[in-house]
Amino acid sequence: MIGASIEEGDKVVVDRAMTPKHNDIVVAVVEGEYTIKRLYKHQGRIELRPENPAYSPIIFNDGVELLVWGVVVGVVRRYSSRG
Amino acid sequence: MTSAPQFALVDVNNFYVSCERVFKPSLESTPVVVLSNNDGCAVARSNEVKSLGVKMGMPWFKMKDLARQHGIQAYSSNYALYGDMSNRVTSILRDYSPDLEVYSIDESFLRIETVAHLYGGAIPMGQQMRHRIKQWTGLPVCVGVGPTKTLAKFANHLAKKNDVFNGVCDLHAMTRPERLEWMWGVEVGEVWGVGSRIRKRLAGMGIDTVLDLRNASPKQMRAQFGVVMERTCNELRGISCLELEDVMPPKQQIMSSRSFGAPVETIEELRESVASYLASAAEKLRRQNSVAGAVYVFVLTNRFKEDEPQYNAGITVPMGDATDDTLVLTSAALRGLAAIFRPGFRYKKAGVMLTLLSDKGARQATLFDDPVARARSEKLMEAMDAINREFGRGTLRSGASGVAQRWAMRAGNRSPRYTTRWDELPVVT
Repeated sequence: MIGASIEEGDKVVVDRAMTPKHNDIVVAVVEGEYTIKRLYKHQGRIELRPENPAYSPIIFNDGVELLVWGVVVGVVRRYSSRG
Repeated sequence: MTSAPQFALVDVNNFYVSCERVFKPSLESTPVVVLSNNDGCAVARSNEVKSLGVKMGMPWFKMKDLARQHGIQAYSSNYALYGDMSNRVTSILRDYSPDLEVYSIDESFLRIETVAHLYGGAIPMGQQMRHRIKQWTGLPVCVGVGPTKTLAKFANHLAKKNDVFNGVCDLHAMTRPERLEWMWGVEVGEVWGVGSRIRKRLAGMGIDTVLDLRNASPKQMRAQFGVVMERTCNELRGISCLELEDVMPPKQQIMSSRSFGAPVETIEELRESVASYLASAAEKLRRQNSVAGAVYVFVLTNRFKEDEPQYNAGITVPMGDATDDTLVLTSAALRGLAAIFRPGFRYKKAGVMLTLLSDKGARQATLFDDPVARARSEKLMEAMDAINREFGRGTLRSGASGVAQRWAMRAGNRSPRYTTRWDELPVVT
């Protein structure tokens, strides 16, 4: 997820035990696939927002269930493939 | 506060299938089946597959047409994943009660009479467990609560089959007539410990429902079936006879067998497989500090291939001195194999079973006991186990188990070991 300092090939640490809150970065399930987005949950609006402005948010209207798989709490990145 | 025992049985719904679904969300609401070792037959079914009429143990080739027709997704068993997920569930449950018995990979018994009040009772406690296990692991569970283990099992069955319980059924929370009515509605084969053979005999006595068995005379049950049935009968009446077992008793026999990935026809290949199964059985034997007094070896052909000649045979080879030495046990097993092998058959499966187990410390010395040889054998086995632990199973093995292992297990469609291998983590794209 470009923009939230998560890049291709990174490992993310996901805590399933945390209850997702507004502004958390989450792993969510959309149409059977995983996606990483920022959770927008404010004044009754629920959206999954990409950090990359080139993509548009996914909006959850009344009655549509959002399945959050877990909250992203950290990232592990390898800088060198040597050693 | 009462000190009468209160047991909870927590059981993961369709455990293997549910594990697969946690890491592949697109499988939610698709029919999924998990196949046994060697992709032989169904060992776990999603509800969708159950309602298609696929029975537990149905061979894969018999459901292939159905699978194609209904888009059933079939997975090979992924025991690394299931074992790890099972440990996660257990560790969550241990937070609820220190008195816990892991009964199988997907079921645990807990004693909750001293802790349930902290949650406002057994039902709210069970609901919290359900919610927490679902959120933390992704796995759905049902909880059954009752005054005995057998009744907790029964309550769990009710919770699973009846939506009114919302996944948690506490028999204490019912009136007596309600309890009896539920017992009347479930057939006796669902009672813990009542297998199909006993069920048939019970049917002959007019005992068809759980209620019938509950109302049967424990004395008569004992006379007909033995002490275990008497206990079951008492447990159904709410008299607790079975305690939690926190330590698994050592196994009375150790079995190791597999179906072959491809049919095997030669004794050479059978020898290799038998030796290799024996190696893993003997390792387990040493881990529980037992020695075996006999080895049973068997071979069989594929009984589903009705057009092929059929043969199955087994033989017990007694050991002079009970032993845990892989090499000694292997040579006994191979002698047995030579005695039962017949050429001209396509063998589907072979296996060994170590029997007449006894505690190693209590071993009887015999006339031919050779302490020097025994010490040497012990050192060798220790080294072998240590190397195999360090570098992976089968690194060091007896020459008899062969190198190529053409017959090795088939696991055609195993999912990644998501939770135990860095290079198999789930990927978000």
